[in-house]
Amino acid sequence: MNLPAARSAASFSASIPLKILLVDDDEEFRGLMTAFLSARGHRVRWAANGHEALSAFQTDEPDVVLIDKNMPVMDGHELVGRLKQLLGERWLPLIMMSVDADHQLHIEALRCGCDDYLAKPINFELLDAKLHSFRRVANLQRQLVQQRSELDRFYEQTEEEALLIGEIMQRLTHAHRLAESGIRHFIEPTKHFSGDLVAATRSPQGELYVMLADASGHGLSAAMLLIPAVQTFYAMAGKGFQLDAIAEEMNGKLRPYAVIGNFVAAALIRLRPEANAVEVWNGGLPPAVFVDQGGAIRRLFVSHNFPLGAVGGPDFSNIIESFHYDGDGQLIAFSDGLIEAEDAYRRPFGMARLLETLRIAPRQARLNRLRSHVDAHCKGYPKHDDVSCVVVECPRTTAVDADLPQNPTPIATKSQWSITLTLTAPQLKAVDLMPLLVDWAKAMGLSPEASSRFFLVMSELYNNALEHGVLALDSTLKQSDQGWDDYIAEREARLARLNEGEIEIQLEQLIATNGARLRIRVRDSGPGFDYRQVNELPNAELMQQAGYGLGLIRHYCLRLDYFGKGNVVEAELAC
Amino acid sequence: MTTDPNHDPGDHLIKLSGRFDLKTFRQFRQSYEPVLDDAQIKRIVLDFAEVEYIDSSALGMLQLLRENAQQRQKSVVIANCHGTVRDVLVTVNFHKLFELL
Repeated sequence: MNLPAARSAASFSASIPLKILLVDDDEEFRGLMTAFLSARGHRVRWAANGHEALSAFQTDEPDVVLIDKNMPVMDGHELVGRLKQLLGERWLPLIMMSVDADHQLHIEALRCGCDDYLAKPINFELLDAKLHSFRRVANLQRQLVQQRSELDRFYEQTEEEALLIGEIMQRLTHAHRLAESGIRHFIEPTKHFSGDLVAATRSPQGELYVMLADASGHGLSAAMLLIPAVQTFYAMAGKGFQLDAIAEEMNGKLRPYAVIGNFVAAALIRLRPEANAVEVWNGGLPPAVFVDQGGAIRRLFVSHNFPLGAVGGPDFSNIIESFHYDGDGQLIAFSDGLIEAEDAYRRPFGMARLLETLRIAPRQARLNRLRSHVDAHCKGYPKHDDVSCVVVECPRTTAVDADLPQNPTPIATKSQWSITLTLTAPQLKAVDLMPLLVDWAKAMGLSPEASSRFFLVMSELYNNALEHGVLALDSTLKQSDQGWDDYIAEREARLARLNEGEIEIQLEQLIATNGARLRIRVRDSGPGFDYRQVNELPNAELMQQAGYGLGLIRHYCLRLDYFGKGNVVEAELAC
Repeated sequence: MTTDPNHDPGDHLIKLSGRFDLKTFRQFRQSYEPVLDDAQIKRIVLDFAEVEYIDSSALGMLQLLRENAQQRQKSVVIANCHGTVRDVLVTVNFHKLFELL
């Protein structure tokens, strides 16, 4: 046996002491190794055979184990196997030693689970270098295990949070109302909790409101935006507010919550079955599609607006498109995750494929067909964004209704019509609107009775819009004799000076099961007023105030509502 | 708006037609103002037979007339109002302020 180059011990660099377990049945060899290793500052424990090795290992785990291959009772290979079992997922270097220098044996040793193989006589320099190298690896491994368990804990926590958010969202989105509304939809989230959401409810007037929302971000940051959005939606839709009022309110609510870059793309849909009309407010989503029975695309509702929360007041646009359908159809809205879902070659599913799918599929199968086509397109590749889609049935209702009174009435009163006028400053100055509107109403078949009531209400709303909204007149001037003169003079003067200002009037006649109704909507460009008090006062009190006006209209109207800043008003009259 | 002096000389008859709102205020006032200070006239009669359309400013104008008339110990009477117009006057209790014929 060669003595090691002990003299070269001095040339070794300073080493970190290791706990070494040396397993060899050769006493002399053990002595030599122990001497060398101890000289290097390591702590050596030895075992003469496999059993001793195992018990030594378990009582005081070493950093490295040196194992002689050829031992009686339990040879090196078997010991390695046992040690691996004890270690489980952990790792520490197991080095096998043997007088056999054969490569094949080396290979076998490595295959059985050793980390290295040293031929005897041991080159101590080599051994030392290897020990260092293994030490580095062992440290790395320990770090990995630690990080793994930290990551596991973190992941569990995140999972729990996501489940919690999912629960909250479930309750807040009023899943039961969604189920009752009769619309069909699917949402395929990329993670536990989706940034996409579908909500639906009916207004007291029987209109169906649907919202498809796609919040930017994921998880908690998306949830934070969706919660106020959905609450506002249910509150306002449940009262039958117009879509633009809802959108404006939601935008206002989301502005403070949204950090730069966070917003909610959404489509707000209002189906008015009695009018065979559907309205869409689209802010940031791909176009909603109206498909008829046969699969033809009858209308695309493109995004005309910014997503909710993206921009503040003056920049916020509020464009609604409405569509009167002449036959049964479906309105389909979806998030961009659907058309952007990619296949293996990064090709998106795209609008063309979507429209084709809708065209071909039988109408009751469109939703499912769309879903399966997208899945087929992606062929199992993960989607980058939540995919959601909603289908709203738009059945055509006819004006003929057995419950309506059988009195012979002119055809015109049973038909439905609507007009929208927008008057700007030049027209507000020049046009005497009321006679024109009354003539229109009579031409549309309103009875003299109904025309009188229409005048009463329309005049009030229009004059309020003009005088208080656009001209900013104070009606208290009208209290005295001189006051009337002053008021009228002031009104005329301001009107003559008027450069800017706008009043939009919408009239619509609707047929309901209990008769026909005239809906009047007036929006002025003025600052509005605090209308909560109007809504809360009983009629008798309201009559006393402000020259009878509002009290009277409330008395004659089926409904009177103010919206927005108080610059939008809607009234409904039986006619 | 026509006035017909061929009645009880104590009556001043004002016949209105069509609409009765802010737009017709000046005309309306011109039809009664001259007689306010006429001691012979005891009663101002408003004939609403042809009035189809009123709004809330009509109510204010009627009140104004009534105040002016009362100050001069004259009464105001509304005749032949019908339909919605009558209904409105009753709803706001004007039938207690004006005799409705």
